[in-house]
Amino acid sequence: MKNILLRNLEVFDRNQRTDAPAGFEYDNVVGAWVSKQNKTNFLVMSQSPDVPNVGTKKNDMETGEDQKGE
Amino acid sequence: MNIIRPDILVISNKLDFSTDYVIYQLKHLKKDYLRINRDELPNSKIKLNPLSKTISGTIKNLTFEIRPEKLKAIYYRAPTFLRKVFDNETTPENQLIKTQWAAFVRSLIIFENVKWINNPVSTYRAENKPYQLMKANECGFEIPKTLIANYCETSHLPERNEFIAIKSIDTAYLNLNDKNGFVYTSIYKKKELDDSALNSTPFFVQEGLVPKIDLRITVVGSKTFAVKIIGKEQIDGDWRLLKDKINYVPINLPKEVQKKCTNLVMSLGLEFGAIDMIIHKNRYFFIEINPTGEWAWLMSNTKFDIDQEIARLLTEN
Repeated sequence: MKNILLRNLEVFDRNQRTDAPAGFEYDNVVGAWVSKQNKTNFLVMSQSPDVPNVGTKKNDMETGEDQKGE
Repeated sequence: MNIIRPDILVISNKLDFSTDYVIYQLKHLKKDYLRINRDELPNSKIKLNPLSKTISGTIKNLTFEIRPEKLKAIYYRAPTFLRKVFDNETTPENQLIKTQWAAFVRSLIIFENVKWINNPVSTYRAENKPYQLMKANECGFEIPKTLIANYCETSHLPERNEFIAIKSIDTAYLNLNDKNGFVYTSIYKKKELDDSALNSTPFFVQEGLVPKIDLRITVVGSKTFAVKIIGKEQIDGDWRLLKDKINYVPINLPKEVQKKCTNLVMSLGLEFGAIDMIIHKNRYFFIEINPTGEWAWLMSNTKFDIDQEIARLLTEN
């Protein structure tokens, strides 16, 4: 008999890696993604429509949550 | 050469954008912080002395020295153990990279006298679901009737109880070749389950609380940020399955529930926790706590300043 936990298994595509949008780069010293033109302009605080979507719970991979998982 | 000697160490991953929110706050507060990304460690030159409790190294253009007399806090956004099973395509080299750098990062527990958000030893213990139910019970939470069994044992459930929640006892994230699978909580009617059939694994058999309102309470130190989760229709099952079809509405928790939440986080040796609760027939039930729960998604849906609160907690004496 099939394991009861597999009866309603939610299947989804493997996570696509999220990359920062063009115009931003990771600054090692600042420790965050910043504008290439102005390092005081943080990606997550910018008004860019391409800001990575941290606004959803996504697939809630509780392996330590998403990217922290591995 | 500019050497960073931090008061605050942030362990993260380059693409963990939630961390950027906290970094922004730390920069705004003009704190001496250092962010080390786990995925960049294989490209670093680094050494750790477990007796003097010092770490020094270089990652690209970043040179740093972590000293015990200076370090005050660690924001630890890393797994406590690897849940993902290696597949046959992972080379021996990559297996070593994965395991040995993970162990290196866990070695930060040599810093016993700093403020951790959260200490991985505490997280490891707190992630155990039966353990957290026990601690929540001790903190005075109401808990749905629960057993762990490898068959559908229902004798512990009230006679009148029509619904049963079946859940994994640990995160069940599965490799399905070109796809992934995740086991969410399933709600069954009692009559749908065969209590004689043995399952190949244990699982939670829990009182199904239907109808319900789901709550998520994010605890940062002594502060709570609470939302109720509302769908277009009543949500009987796992709200996480509804992804973008739900709304998060800030609520004020009763003071006694707030207190239980902060007490639970403290009793688990944590500074941060994401607690799932249910309101059922006007009663508040504890469901589970996630010591590594995400929170940035909440900020974009509410006006919660969780990033500021985390930064404040890292910087307070």
